[in-house]
Amino acid sequence: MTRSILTSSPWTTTQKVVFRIFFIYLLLLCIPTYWGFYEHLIKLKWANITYHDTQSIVAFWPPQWITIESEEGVFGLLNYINLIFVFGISVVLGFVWTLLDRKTLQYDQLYYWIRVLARYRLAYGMIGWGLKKIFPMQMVIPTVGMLNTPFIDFAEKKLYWSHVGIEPSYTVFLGFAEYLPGLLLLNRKTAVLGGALAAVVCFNICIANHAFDAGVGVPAAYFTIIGVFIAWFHLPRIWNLLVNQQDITPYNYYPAFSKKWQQYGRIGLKVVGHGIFWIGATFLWWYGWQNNHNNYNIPNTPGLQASRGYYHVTEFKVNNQLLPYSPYDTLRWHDATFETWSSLSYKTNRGNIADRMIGYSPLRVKGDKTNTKLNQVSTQDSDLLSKQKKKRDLGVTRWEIGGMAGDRHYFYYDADTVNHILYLQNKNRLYAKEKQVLHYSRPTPNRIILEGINEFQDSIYVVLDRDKKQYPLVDGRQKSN
Amino acid sequence: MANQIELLVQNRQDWSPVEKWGFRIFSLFFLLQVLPIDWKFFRQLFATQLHFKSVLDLTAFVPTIVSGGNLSPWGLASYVNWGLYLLIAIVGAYGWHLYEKRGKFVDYDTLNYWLRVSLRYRLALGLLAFGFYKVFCLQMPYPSLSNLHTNYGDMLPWKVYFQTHAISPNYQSFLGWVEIAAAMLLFNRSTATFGAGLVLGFLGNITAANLFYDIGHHLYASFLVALALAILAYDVPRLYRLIVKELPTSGKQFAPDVFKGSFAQLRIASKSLFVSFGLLLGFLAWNNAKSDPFKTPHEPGLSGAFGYYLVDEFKYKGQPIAFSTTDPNRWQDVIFEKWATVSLKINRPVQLDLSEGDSIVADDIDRNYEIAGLVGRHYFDYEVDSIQHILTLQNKNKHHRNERYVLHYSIQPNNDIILSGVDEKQDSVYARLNKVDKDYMMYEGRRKQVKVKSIHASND
Repeated sequence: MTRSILTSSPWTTTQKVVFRIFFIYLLLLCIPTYWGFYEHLIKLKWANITYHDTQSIVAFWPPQWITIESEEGVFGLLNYINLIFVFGISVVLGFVWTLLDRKTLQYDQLYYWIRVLARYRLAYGMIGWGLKKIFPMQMVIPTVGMLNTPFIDFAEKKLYWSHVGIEPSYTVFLGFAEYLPGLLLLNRKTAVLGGALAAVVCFNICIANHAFDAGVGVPAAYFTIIGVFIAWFHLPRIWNLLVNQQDITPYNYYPAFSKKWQQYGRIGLKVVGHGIFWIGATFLWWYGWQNNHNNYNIPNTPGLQASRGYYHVTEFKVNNQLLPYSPYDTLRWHDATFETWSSLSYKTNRGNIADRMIGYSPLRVKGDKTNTKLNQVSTQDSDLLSKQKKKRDLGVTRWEIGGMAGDRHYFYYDADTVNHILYLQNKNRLYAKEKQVLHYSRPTPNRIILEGINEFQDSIYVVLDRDKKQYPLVDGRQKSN
Repeated sequence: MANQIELLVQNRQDWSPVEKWGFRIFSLFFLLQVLPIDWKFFRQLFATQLHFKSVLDLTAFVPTIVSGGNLSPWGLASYVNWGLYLLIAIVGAYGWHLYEKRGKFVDYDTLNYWLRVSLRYRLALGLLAFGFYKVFCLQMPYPSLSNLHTNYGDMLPWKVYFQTHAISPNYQSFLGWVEIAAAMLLFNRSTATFGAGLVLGFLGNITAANLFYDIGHHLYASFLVALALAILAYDVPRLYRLIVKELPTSGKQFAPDVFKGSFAQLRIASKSLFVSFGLLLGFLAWNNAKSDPFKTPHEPGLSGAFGYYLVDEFKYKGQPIAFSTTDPNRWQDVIFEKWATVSLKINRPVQLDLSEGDSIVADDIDRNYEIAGLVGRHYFDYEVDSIQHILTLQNKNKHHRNERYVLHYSIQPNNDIILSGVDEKQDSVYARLNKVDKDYMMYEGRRKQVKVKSIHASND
């Protein structure tokens, strides 16, 4: 593919055939091919746009023309069927094109424009995913409930995401590892570096997603393919220069924008594209992040004042019967946690069906909700609730419960601080009908007494005492020293 | 321009005064750290055993002026040696400048060539060692059952980072192979830039992780990043010219004209030596992983006991104590590892072992990876007398070594274990352990509907 002369030269037949196939392939990858994307775009209300809107535009998925409703099809290698199938189509169309077009000597012009498309598709995607971490909302600092849950009671994906979440500065670092390649892709002179970096970063993400069954292996592989395609333009030259020690005279085709409308059009497109998906998106993510007011993983209703912590259950009565602690008891609370937001959890020896919504789970793009046994489809409606100025506690991605064993039960509560009553509702959607009404009193700062009707219509009386434990995870090695 | 082309034909560079100063300072800065000019290196060399970790430690040696207790373990101050080396390099560069001013000729192209050779091999060496460390999962062994039953918040950040990577041995191996692939690219001069480029992102990530999670090797990781940057810098002007300026670019590279006769043989000999050393590292790592992974205790545990037990019945000084998560004497649960470690959950504080648990030690009680960087459980090394049915326990934590138990054991037909005996104060202890059949979210995964089943007492 290297041409060491200053003007364009005819391409070989093989080069032309390969190009036609990849041209079609990249075209199909870089243009959204499902109606939902355009529907979303049309319905967008630009007046109250949020980071969620720009993100759902740039994070569109590769074609999903075949849906295999099996475990392997949703989570495993069969999930790659679409990337392969679309390539197959590109091969067929590439040969048809070859039959029809016998005159063209070279495709310098088309090669340039497909690279432009690929560059912008990947750049805005990388910027979007990077912003999710630069304003560290994708991964979350462990909640009190998580801090007091054994490692083995987390799903693997939850462990992988959480290990990033425990160090927000590392999350920010990883964010820049995506954001900066995105910026490099915006300039054609630095695009090769941006493409190569994006490919390396995304390939690692792809492998890690399979290693921890985290579900976005295919989108990461898709970004990797685009990154490699962009870097490929320069790679043979670089290889020949460095490895074969050849002298290289680069030839790059650039379109001549001779007419005024072309020049203005180019600048206009750049201003609009960069304005929305780079500058605008960065602003919107910052705006969503600051003051925690639209952090989609974290509830936004404040909890009981200064109640955050881990509590021992000193006394527990059911229907006025004292129930001593036993690890086998399926009703008595073994412990309890409060967060800074309105969340109460308790552990008992009774499993519920686990909530498997761990962050974003973009395994289906069609809004197909038929196979929920395999896959809980995206229920990331926190943004919608936020726009309606509603509490998003029950609609968030439910980070604190997602991917955690179901024997710790998480409840949202509305606090009536005048009459000292908590109205609780189970956060797990499958158990949304579980409601408790508990009167609370706080005789000392570290004691909370709850009394009322639990989710099984039994009357309970619970004395909670806060454990003043220190967490090595929070304190870190230097402070623990 | 004409001058430049002439130089290009000779494959030589035109060294401007600024470039010369830069080269003098940075070559000295790196050579001070690459060459073993530190008596501590020889002390370590002579103490090196034919053990993977011992050889790895040798490859990770970097000369230091300030070390040990005087060195801040974290933060900017921990880079004090870099500052000192830079200072020495600047003074040295000035001396070098004076030497040149007296009319002495210095062949910068040749020096640059040899500097790059030394940086390439130094970096490749470090990558090979840490690559094999991961390939065979010696660096981050699979978490012990006790560690898995430790609350998330009870671990230091570095421990969570390690344990998270450890639960996917294939991913850890993959990361190891990336390092080895980069080392192989660095081994060849022509592909060195690709190797350095590949590994720059990788090492940058490792350095960031070491800093943010306080893993403890940020200095060495940053040193390797600096090496990769220096190697990469060599080709940056050329690539900038080709890609950004889009100008004709010469691929000719300067190589000193010395590889003739016996020099050529010397070159082959040193390359072979390096390859042999790489193979030795690989063999030692494989051998250690296969025979006796050094972070894991060696002695097998009580036969058939491996598992998680709840303590259904407990007596201390003859007095029964009911289930309690707050009583400082009540055992809550007990875990027998596959090896001779048993861990107890008791509501009593544990003093954190701040080490990384990665030193080479012979005795199981000193193999402290399983207790390093976490609290929440009390870990005991034990000996089994299978004739008398006696377990002799001693706390593994160096702050709690005085804690001991001598316990008679009997394994019931239903896999319950009854332990009875005395602690170090000769107070009697009795515990009936119920082996619990539990479901775990980590193994159930998120692919299908998961509902962990309730656990049952053994008399149910």
